[in-house]
Amino acid sequence: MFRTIDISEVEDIKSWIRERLRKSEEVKVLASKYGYREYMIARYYEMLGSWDEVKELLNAFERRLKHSIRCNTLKVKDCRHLVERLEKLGFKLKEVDFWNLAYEVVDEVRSPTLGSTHEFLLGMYYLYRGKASLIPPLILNPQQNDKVADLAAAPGGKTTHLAQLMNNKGVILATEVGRERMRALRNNIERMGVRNTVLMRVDGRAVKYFLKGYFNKVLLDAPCTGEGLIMIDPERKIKTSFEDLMKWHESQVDFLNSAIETLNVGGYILYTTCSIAPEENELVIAKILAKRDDVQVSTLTNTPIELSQGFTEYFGLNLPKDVSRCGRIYPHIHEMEGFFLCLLEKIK
Amino acid sequence: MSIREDKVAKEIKCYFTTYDELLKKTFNALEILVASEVLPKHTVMICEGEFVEAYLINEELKHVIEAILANNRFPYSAGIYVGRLRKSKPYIIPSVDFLTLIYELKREYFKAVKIRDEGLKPFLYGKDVLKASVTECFPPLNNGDVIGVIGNDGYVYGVALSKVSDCNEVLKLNPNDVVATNVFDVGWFLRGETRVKEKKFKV
Ligand SMILES: C[S@@+](CC[C@H](N)C(=O)[O-])C[C@H]1O[C@@H](n2cnc3c(N)ncnc32)[C@H](O)[C@@H]1O
Repeated sequence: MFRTIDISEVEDIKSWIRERLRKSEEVKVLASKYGYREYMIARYYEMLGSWDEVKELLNAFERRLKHSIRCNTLKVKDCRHLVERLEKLGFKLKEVDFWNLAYEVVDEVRSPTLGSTHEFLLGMYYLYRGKASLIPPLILNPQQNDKVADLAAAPGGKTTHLAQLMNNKGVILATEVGRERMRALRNNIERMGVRNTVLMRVDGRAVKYFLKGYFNKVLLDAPCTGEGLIMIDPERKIKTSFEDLMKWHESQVDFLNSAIETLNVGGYILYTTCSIAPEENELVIAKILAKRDDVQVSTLTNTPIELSQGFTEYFGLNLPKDVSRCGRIYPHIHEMEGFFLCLLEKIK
Repeated sequence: MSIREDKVAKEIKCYFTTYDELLKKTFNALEILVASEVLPKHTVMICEGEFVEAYLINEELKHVIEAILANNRFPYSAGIYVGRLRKSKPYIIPSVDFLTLIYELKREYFKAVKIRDEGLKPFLYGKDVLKASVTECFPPLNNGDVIGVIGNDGYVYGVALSKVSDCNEVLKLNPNDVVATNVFDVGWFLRGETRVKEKKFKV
């Protein structure tokens, strides 16, 4: 058994974790069988607690996800009309069980592809590689008069979803730093008929310089390793070294810390990643809680599915117990891409 | 970690102006007249950079943009994208979204041709509209005017330049004669023609 210690007492988390990464035979065998870096497998055991469950996760990462689409009610009055049009083309759709305006594509045709139908070009739907991306906007649940910031916005799946939930009312500031990604974002905004949004090509961390305390809802869908998307991009089994993972961690802490500055008191920020790595998730939240006394972790309401709880212990590091209020989506449990969500409230 | 700043940022200038000013710049484009009537409370924002682009901004968005401009930054786009302004004819190339808005709110002022499915596919590959594919014509059309292109399903699929001076002229054309040349269509981004088309209709 490892000794446990409060995370705030550990100065060098990277070394702490690295020293505790298991190098057992099971780790080696599974890493080689499934083609992963060994440190990833060692972490999965730490996260899940049994080799059987680790294998379930790894097997789930081998299964392809079905595409999902969101019917865009800014353009489509009656979603049955969209379904009919796509079914005429040969697609088979099934309503997503947690939201009736989204559909899983259970059968596809070769041509046209879902990203090139006339319906797509007209902005009647947004195309997702997995359905977990539908969940953050539903949890943030923006209202028509809200002031919303989406600080890492491209290509705009969540921005356009937020605008749809707000019925094109209120205001969204969507920032994105990448040039080509900004083009894609703008194209999606126009294609989907979104008209309540200001797009800005800027580092999202700079928003605090000109709209400090302005927003009542902020989404930070943070840039991350994408360790939840292995079924979509198997490259990610080997792409990120442990050193790089910890660099992501640092920049996520920095981004979230700046993002909180844009919130007004009583406002909420939803921090999400498409990663299952605690380093990019619970450990980021724990660092923020240690740094600041003006935010608290909120219970996730409006959750359309039952989420797994956030970790409060990782490699012997004790995290604040409220971090358990954060939510996790696992491929082997939820049959979606891996995802993390955590809602923070600005309390002063 | 230092915050990345956009170098291009400094070369763009955005400012608020009035419908009257926009009407002057577009030589009284019908679409702008309609917008000033249906969305009178919106402010016009013009951004000048590589292109000159116009937007319609409501009060809430204006507040956010003012904060951005006050910090010597600029928005990339905002609100309702009206289209691109030019110094020569056509003085404005309206966006598909803006044309859709006009089509929804004031159909009687909508200059357009409706085309059958067989013509729609080539149009979405950037091809011109031929007489053979036109099923309906919504006047007034003038040679050189920007018009909407509607599919048989009633959706706006793009923007074209009229080659005819009125709808009756269409009837007199041969099936393969061009009724309108493709300026912009909803397939444009997918085809990856961003740069090419942008250059072609540069101010
Ligand atoms: C996870 S993706 C966002 C996906 C998006 N929210 C969606 O739902 O379509 C993260 C995005 O953040 C952008 N990004 C990275 N660093 C950034 C920064 N400092 N400020 C703003 N955007 C940033 C990346 O280019 C990338 O497009």
